[in-house]
Amino acid sequence: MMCSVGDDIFEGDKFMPTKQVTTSKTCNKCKTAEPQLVLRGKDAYCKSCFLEGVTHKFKSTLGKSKLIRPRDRVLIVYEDNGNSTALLHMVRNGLNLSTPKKLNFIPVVVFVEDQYHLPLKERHNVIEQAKEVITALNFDLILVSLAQYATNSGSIDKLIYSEGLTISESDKDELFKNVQTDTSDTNKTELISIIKRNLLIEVAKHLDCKYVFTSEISMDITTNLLKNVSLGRGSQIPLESGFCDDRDTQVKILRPLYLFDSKEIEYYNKYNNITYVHARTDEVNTYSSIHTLMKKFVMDLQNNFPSTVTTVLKTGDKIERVKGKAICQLCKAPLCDNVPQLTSEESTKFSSLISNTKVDFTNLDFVDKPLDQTDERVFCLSCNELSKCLINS
Amino acid sequence: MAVLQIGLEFGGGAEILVGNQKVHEISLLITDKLWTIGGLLHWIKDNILKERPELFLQNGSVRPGILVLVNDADWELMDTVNYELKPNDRIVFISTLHGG
Repeated sequence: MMCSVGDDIFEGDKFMPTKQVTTSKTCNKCKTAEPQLVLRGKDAYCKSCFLEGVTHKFKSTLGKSKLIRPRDRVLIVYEDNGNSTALLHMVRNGLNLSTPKKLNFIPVVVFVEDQYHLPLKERHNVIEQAKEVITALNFDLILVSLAQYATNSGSIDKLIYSEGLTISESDKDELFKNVQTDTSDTNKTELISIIKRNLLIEVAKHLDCKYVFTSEISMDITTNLLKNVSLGRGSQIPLESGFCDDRDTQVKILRPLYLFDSKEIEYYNKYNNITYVHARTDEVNTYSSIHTLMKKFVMDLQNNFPSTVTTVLKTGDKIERVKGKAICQLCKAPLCDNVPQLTSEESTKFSSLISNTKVDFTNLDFVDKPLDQTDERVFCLSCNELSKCLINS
Repeated sequence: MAVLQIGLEFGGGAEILVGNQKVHEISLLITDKLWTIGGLLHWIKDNILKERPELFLQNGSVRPGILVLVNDADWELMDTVNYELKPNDRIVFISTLHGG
């Protein structure tokens, strides 16, 4: 055969970078101590330089934002994972300092009970363990049940507990009682995250907190960013995937760990002898929702090409915010209206209009009519789809 | 018979795969072959891994996303699977693969 197309199919392999074993004998920073760990697959650090670096990164993330004023109240969200335990630990260390670099806000910790994949007994254990971790670090703790919040339209103060939160087997069914039974996992996960966000904002307002700290790390933010693109929430990326979510005028959600990766967090916990609650996670099929699929994709990226995760994150940081007066009734993000260029949202609608309308070619007036002027928009593009899963009650 | 005493620790959820026990003190039989972490991983699979080995091992190493520490230091500084175990070494496995 003369044709040689395809013969060189494996040629590219020799240009692929191979994983190099780090052989540096001293710490990258102090250049004297023996290194203890490798970050980003190449930089070796000793224990004390590493811990110093972590503390610095945390403080400078908060400091650079210039948002928090002394004596501001901050609601910190505790979850049953290493990230939020590390966050609490960093905050506690910052508050306990006696130097001018001391953190100066008043923290309250909230634990939202939503471990619906676990049996009741284990859910009780998770709450007890969370209490232990939080009180050991000397924080005030409040407990809220996601299902109770979702099904009670009454005042939030009746749903806030410091002791004795009641949970039951039926919580999951309660949570989804207004949701169509055939709703996809993707939409269910979206709904839960929207409900949870609204819950945190309401609790923060009730407790007079101006800020909420959540503990997403770089991998979570990148996953969220790509998920938002796939679900038609591109315009919300600056809110969902940056350091600060300021869609609410009174309460801002901040993500102080958004520049950390999982290895830094785990080593931080290990070197500080931090033990934390780790509930059994749900055994989910990776292909069951866009969220789990994106998570797998980003996790693979993190393991094989760690700098790509940061690149996606930093690119997301540069996306401009949408300014609009109207907000989506579900996710509370501003609706993009009055934008000079045609958005992909409008293109989608136009395409759907064209496909669903019987076109009378003798009368093409409808082409000039602006789209979507029939009624005031209530939801953003993505929530509009999501709202179809809700049973109107 | 000569044995090699070492300590294993599992964390971050990895303990769930080994019968929900965080610390394992183990003795490895010394043969004419040197014990490396690679060999230890096989031993773990054959002896203490209770469920879903694919969540712990992949392609002769740990699954990506599981951190390995040898006496509190990153195994990437010690030639990973080729590290030769010494008596009383503490090997820690921490899973970073939370959630689903």
